[in-house]
Formats: sequence, C-alpha cells, structure tokens
Amino acid sequence: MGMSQDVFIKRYRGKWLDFEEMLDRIEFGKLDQPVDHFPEDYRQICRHLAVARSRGYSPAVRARLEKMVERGHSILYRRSRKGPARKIWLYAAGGFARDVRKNWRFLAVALLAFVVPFAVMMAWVATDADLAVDVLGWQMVENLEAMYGTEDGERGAGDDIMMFAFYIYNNVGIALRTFGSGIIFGLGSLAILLFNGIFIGAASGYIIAAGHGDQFWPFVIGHGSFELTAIVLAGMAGLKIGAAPIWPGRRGRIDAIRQAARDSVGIILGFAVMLIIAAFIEAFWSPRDVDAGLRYAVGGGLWAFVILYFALAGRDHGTR
Amino acid sequence: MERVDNRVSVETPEAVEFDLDLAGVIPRTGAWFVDGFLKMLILWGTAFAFFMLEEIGVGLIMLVMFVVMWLYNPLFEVFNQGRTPGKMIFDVRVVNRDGTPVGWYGAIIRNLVRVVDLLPFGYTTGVVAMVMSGRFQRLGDLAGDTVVVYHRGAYSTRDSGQLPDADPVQVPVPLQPHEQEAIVDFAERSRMLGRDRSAELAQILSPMTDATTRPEAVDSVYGVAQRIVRWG
Repeated sequence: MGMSQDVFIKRYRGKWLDFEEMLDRIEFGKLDQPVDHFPEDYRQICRHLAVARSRGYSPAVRARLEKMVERGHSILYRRSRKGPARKIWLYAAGGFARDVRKNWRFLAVALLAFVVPFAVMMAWVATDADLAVDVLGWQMVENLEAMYGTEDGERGAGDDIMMFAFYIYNNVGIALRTFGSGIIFGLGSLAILLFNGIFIGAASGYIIAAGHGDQFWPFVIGHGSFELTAIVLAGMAGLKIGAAPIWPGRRGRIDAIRQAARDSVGIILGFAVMLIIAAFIEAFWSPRDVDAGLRYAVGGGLWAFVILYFALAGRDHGTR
Repeated sequence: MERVDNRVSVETPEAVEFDLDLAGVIPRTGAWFVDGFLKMLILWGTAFAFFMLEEIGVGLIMLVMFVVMWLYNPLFEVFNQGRTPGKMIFDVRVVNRDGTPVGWYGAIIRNLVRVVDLLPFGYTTGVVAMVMSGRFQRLGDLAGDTVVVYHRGAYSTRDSGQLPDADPVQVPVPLQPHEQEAIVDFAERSRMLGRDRSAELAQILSPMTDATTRPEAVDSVYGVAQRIVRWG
C-alpha cells in the first residue's frame, strides 16, 4: 500500500493551489510571460492523477486533479495562431481558386441552380411584364421603378456609406445562410440559390420589358461580378457539406461532414471577402454618374478578372 | 464502476485520461439568453449613440448588426477560451472534441450551421441532434467537431479532499475499493447535502457501524472515511 490519501493531499495541496491559481491567471490573460515551469508542473499533476486513480483515492480528489489536467491540457496544447498574414496572402494568391476548382462538381450544380432559373425568368418576364407582379410583388416592382425608372440626382457620401453597410449586412448574411443551411443534405443551399435565381431573373426581365436597361445594366455589371459569383460559391460550399453524409466515401457519415466543413472554411472566408469587395464597388462605384461605356468597360474587366482568377490562379504550385 | 452519464474521455499525450463534463440544454439555453440580452443592449446602445448621424449612423448600426449576428460568437469563442459572456456566466465553454481550445475552424463552422439548428423554431433541430449525438452536440458542433463542456465543474468550487473531522473508526467488515470510495465521497460531499439528508443516507449504514441515533450514524460514517483516507 502506498501513501494514504490524507498524506498525499497534505503533501501536494499547496502545489495544487498554486497550479490552479496559475491556470486562472493564464485563462484570464493576466499572465504576460509564459511560465517556464508550466509544462513540468502540468506533467506532475498528470502523475498525481494517475497515482490517485491507481490507489483509488476519493472521487472528489480525482475530480479536482482531472479538472486541473483538463485545463492544463487546454493551455499546453493550444494551437498556434501565429503567422496568419502569410497564410492569408497565400490563400488569396491561389489557394482559394484551387479550392474552388477542386470542388468543380459542386460548383457546376450551384451554378446551374442559380443560372437556369435566372435565365428562364429573365426571358419569360421580359416578354410578359405582367408576370413580374406575380413573382416579385407590387412593392418590389414599385421599388424597381423608383430605382431605375427615373433619373436620380447625384447622391451624397452619407448614402454611399449607408448602402455599403447595408450591402455587407444583407449580402454577406445571405451568403452565410446559404452555406449554413447546406448541412441538411444541401437542400437549404439549393433552395436559396433557386429562389435568388428566380427573383433576380424576374427583376432583370421586368427591367428589360419596362425599357429601363440603360439605367440598370451599367449599374449592376460592375459589382455583379463579385456578388453573384460569391453567392454561387456559398451555394457550392453548402452543397459540399450537404453531400458529405450522402456520399461519405470511406469515412463515417459524421466524419465526412466534419472533413467537408473543415475544407470549406477557406472558401467561406473567401466568399465573405468577395462580398465585401462587391459591397464596396456597389456603394462607391456603381452609382457614379459616369459614361455608360466606361462603366461597361470596368464591369467587363471585373468579370474577366474574377473568371481568370478562378480558372488560373494557383496553378503553378501545389497539386492541381 | 461503469459510468453511464454525461462525460467523455480524452487521453492526453502524457497518457493520462481525463473526462470532459458535457453541458446539457439548460446551461446552454441560459447562456444563449444572456448573450441574446447582451446583443440587444449592444444594438440599442449603438442605435442610441449614432442615430443623429443620419445615413452614416444607419450604416454604422447595420455594420454593428452584422457583427453582432455573425461575429460575436466566433470571436468570443476563439479569443476567450471558448466562452461568450453568457457561457462565462453559466460556467460552460466550447472546446474541440479532443479537449483542446476551439479554434477558427470549429468556431466558424459551429456558428454558421446554427442557422439550421434553429429550425423550425426554438432550436428544435439542435436539441434533437443533441439528444441523438451522445455528446450533446447540435448539428453545428457535429460539423465543427466541438463540444460544450463545464469549465470548472461542481467539484472545484471548494477545496476538495477535506473531510469533516471525526475520530477514525475501524469497521468490522472488510470493504471493497468501490465501497471505500463511496464512503469517502459521501463524507466529502455531505456538507453540500444538508444535515437531514446526510443523516438519512448515513443511517443506511447503521447495521455496519452500530450507530443508534442519526447524528451518531453520520459521525460514525465520517470516522470510517477518516480511517480509509489515513491508512489507504
């Protein structure tokens, strides 16, 4: 028989109190300097726990030691958060495009789910403007008239900033929901993509039918490049986590979801940044009252940039 | 003894296992309400502070809405050891399934998948997933590979291992290790139980300890506990 519990506690109680106090200080961020003897102390507590267990010391003593081990483990094996700047740069320079290309199947499905209803509704409503009211509702049609049916004056800087914030709040929110709702077998993502395709297609069709194209297209072409692509990418990532439990491959279904979710985090940050760029363009460039030809040129350039980026970036290093 | 309860075991590189005390629906709901209240305060505060700025003010309020809706939870969870203010109050935190602190991956995923856990109302999907998962994980936790655990737990609120004073008593029968454990556990926890409940429990053992009155029964169990911890 080894040391009795009583003696064990008497001998190490001070050590434990010190260690618990150190844990508190580290967790509350009050310790600026790393403690040299922390790993050593932690391993000693691990030994104490092993001893307490093998000798059948009381549950309270073991529970206390377990808690110390758990908290110490958390601190000692904290994953490093260093060097994010370089990681972000590498991802933007090519990793993001590679991730998107790797998931081309989901991209194709997401693109179809958005573009097909968009094209169908645009063509249909363009030839039959009355349909717009059924699809969009009176309120939206009136809004479209107000936005594109009249020549509006130059707007102030305050409006630009307000709209910038609104686009971030609204569009990034929609994209994040498009991703998150994908976990139910991709159904949520598909529904949001279809709904947006129908809605935006119908709105575009109405603009054509009403003859407001001259106001509309130069406005939307610029930010559309980043905005619409980002929404499709959000759908792509949502479909990816939704498909994981259906086709798990050689993993368990839950494991497959975890892996897919882990692989999607870069894409999520990527499309969120794209939408912030889109919001910036939409708030500060798109409404500028400059020559339509210039706006088409800039818009075309932005589309070319987005397409070339996803087609070519990051091909020279890494796999694929 | 076989454990059938809300704990999962994690093995450290030091080859010691420890258990995570999983937090259930109640503390998590409480934390959610506290965070919800704080978020509302933040929104009302910004609305109050900026509404005079007209368009720019509206823009700022919308940015704050965005931050509160989408960034509040992940940022607190990543930078505050897995704890939003609500979770701090309810003594729970988010950790990876292996017990390490939650990082960006887990925090981002679990909070985005929340949009489905909410469905169709009041976290129904999340609660169903928690019941079925075996680790109280809602869908967001399953996808992000995270669990919500008690931070300190009930034991750490006092200086464990302190037994009530009593003269050691030799028991007439040999005790199995788990029986010794139960007796010491009782002695350590009896302060939390209340006097009458302690007496009631201790009386069950009176055939063994020959105690006749209730206080005597409690004291004699304390004595047995003292005997066990002193001579192992």
